[in-house]
Amino acid sequence: MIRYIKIADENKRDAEITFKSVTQKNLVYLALKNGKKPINKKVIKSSKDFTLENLIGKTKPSQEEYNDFSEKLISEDKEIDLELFGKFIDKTDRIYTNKNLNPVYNVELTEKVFDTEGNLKEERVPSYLYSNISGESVLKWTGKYIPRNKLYNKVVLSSKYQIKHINGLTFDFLFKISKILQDKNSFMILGGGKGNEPLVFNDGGKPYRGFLEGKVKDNSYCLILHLSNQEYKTIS
Amino acid sequence: MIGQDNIKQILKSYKSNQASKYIPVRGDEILTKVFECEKYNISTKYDGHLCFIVKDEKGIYLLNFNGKPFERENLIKELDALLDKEGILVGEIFNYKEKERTRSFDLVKNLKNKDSSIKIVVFDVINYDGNSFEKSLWVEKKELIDKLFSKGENVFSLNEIEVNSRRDIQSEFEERVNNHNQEGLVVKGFNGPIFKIKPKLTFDFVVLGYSLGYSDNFSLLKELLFGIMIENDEFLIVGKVGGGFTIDQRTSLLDNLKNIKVESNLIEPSGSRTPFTFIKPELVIEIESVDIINYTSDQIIKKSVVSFDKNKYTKAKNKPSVSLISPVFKGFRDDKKVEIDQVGLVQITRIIELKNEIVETSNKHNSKIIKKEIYSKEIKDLKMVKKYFIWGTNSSSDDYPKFVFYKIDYSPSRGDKLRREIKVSNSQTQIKKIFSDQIKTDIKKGWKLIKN
Repeated sequence: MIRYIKIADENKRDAEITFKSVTQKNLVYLALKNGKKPINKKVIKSSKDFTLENLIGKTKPSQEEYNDFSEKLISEDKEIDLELFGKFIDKTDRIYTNKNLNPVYNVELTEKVFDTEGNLKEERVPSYLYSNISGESVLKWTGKYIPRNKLYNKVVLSSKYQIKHINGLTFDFLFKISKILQDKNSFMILGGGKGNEPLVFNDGGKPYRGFLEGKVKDNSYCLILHLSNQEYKTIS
Repeated sequence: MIGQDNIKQILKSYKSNQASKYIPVRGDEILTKVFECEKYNISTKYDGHLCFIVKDEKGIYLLNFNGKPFERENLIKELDALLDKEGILVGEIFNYKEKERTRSFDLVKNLKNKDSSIKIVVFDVINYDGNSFEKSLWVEKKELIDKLFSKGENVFSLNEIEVNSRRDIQSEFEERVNNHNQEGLVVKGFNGPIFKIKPKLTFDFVVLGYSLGYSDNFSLLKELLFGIMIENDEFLIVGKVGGGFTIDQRTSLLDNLKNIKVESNLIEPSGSRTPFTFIKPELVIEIESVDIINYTSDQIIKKSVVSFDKNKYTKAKNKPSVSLISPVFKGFRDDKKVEIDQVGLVQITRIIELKNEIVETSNKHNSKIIKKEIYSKEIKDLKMVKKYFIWGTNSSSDDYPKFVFYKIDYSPSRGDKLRREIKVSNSQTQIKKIFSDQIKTDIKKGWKLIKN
């Protein structure tokens, strides 16, 4: 799906353009003997009615009950459903469940923060972030350049989007930005919100720092927005 | 047909990479959503089915994106006279009625009727005479298509006009769609994307459920689940809508919805990862959407049918349904009732056909165990068990493999006590090999065969 964003240049002039995710298909893949690509299919392996606790009939079985279950397994085949297991399934959805694997209709979300030892440090209400790149929002030109060779050692670049023109005017606009970035041999931080905030692409999404990379060759340009939400740190 | 699998792949790939990437725009959004380009090519949108014209050394085939043929001898004969080189061209096959709007359901109804007027409008070329046109400019493709089909009677080249501004597109939309009831426009931006412009669609649907969790706040309404009435007290789920509500409505509507909640044995997931809470089928809503589709890139859309009896919904089956693109809640229709003539099938079929149902599970007999072996091993009075099965599913449906291999690995002293493994195959030889290989790997010293 094509999405629109507004982006500003160094003169604070903005233009509406589009972006799309950049994914590279794997050139190497597992193949069948005849050279064809295998088709992945999901099959039903088990269901909540066949958990060990449900098969024993207790929420918290004792060790003795676990031991006795071995005999049940030998004498009966109640742990499998011949009509259900092995069936192909298409799309699946995830839902919240309680401990008994029954769906819940109302939940309270909390965010738990653990220290490096794995101890719970804090439990808090997660902050819900609204997208700050759509509608009237403009991605700001911060003028903060980071040389290419330094950025790769500073942050983990997790995903990228290609920024594209929509007509002749925006082609010139993006070509110029790409040329500036290529000449400086640097990435530039793009700011959301008032100009210094991380970018949030979707309502409820994660915040990312955006780094703009530009290249030009003859009459063509390539402008990539790299995203990162992790920094490299030395082990203390 | 040469390289049948290869051709099927090309058709599917075209469907998902080209045909499905037209940008949908509503008629009232032309000035804001269509990109500003130097010029545009406009054509009327035909409401039929995507059709590939495939010519190889053996003949001419008319195929849909799944590689299934459209049986129209007259069109194949005409194409045989028009095309002298091998190639794949793309068009829309439709039912023609003079001065009337094209409808895809008319095509389905009349395709097999020899007296009906079925035509193809050609709008793209993938390859022809050994040349690939996948990266060619539209001008080059158009030149070839015009040349090939200049003498076509029922297979013809797309008729386009060139305009310079979005205002011009608006005028054309007004003339062709609003005044002459055509389905919509296809607009190619010069050096830009392709837009399909349609009038906004509005529907009346029955509300079947609600979910909480707007912006992760579970005291606010997130979405409504809606559908159509197909029989008395039987409903086909169509979709969910989460847009178009004010924050006030997300609170105020909840009281009324909670008062009419009922039980259901169907778990229908919502966007907040909780199931919808079902309600009595009493409310009618108006929904607006940009488009409606009855299949995804590779299959017919199917959704649940539920029956409502004694204040409880029960899932009856799955049936072909539709999906709305960008649905928006416009309001409740208090003036309408939940009755077949007001929220029935016609809400959908006045715009798009519902695909024919394919019976899938009726030909499934009970599965039958073909092979089974049970092993055990005792250590300090604890009995570990390993069970191996092969069963035949006895189904000719695509929903099941022919054979299933299943393994149970139970150890009462282990953290993860009950482990399961499954492998499937359509070959009995292969599944038997999987079975024996697994036992060879697993069963070592101390394990005893108890049953087979």
